[in-house]
Amino acid sequence: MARTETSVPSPESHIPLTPATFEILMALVGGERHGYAIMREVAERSEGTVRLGPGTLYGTLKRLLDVGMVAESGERADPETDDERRRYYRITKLGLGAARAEARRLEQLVRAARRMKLIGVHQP
Amino acid sequence: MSAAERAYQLLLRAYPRGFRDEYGREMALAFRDQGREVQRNAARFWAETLVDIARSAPRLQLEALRLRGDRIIQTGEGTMTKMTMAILAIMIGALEAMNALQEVWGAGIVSHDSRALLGGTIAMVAGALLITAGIALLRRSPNAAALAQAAAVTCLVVFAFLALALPLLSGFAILLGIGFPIALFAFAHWDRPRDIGAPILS
Repeated sequence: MARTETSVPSPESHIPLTPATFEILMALVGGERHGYAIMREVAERSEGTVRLGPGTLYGTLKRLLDVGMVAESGERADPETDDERRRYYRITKLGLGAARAEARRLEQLVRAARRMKLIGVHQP
Repeated sequence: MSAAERAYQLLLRAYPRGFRDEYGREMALAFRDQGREVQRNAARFWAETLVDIARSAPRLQLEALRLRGDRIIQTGEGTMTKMTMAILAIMIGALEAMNALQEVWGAGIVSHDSRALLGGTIAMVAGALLITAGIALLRRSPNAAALAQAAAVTCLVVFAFLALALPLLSGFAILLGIGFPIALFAFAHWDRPRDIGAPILS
């Protein structure tokens, strides 16, 4: 029998997220941001170890918009820095759920790594 | 706009057109802002930029191609047949051209066999024509059908030459040598009066 209801994908169905996807969603958990602000946030949080280029950022944002984890929230100039109008992005309920699910998955991994003494002990 | 920004605008051409139209301006702005922050280490910045493009552009191009492929499938059987014929023409053309090149080099140039040199040269032309016809079919060029028919006739000439020179050809060779050019010729003839529509590959 054909299904007539539209099925809404659960956040867990998107797990595991790619590192870039998770970084972008985490940046947006703090509030809506434009592209360059996301790049800055990711670089600052990771103390410069993760740097998203414009191609990776907008390629990932496009996929996140397509699946509904991120939504556009208008276009305006950044009041702090800029003269140019920029497109702002915000995380959706689905995106937040996926970010939480991914964080739980990573937490379990870290716990397992700790149990196996891969981390949390002094290496000789 | 600085020279670096102009260069980045050029590099953006590595991305699919639709993606560029949607995000090109935002990407250029992000590039400009990043550049202002890392002025001291321009070489590293450019290396990171190139790596970023090399990593992200092919994937987006593939996604765009897949989307176009889905659209092609949705537009009906005729387009699917055209795609199949185009891909077959490109593949068989490439095979034929490579084999012919080997033949020309081995028998024609090294051993000075004039028959092999002539056969190989015609086969290379046929292979090149098949590839061109395949691409023209994919792009839905106005002259695609004429090119496909020219390629089919040249292939038949090559096969006739080979059949005379090598009478013991395998069933597969006969199928490929006669069957495909005839099928391509018939398809091009059938396809000629039809509406050529929008390009599949841009």
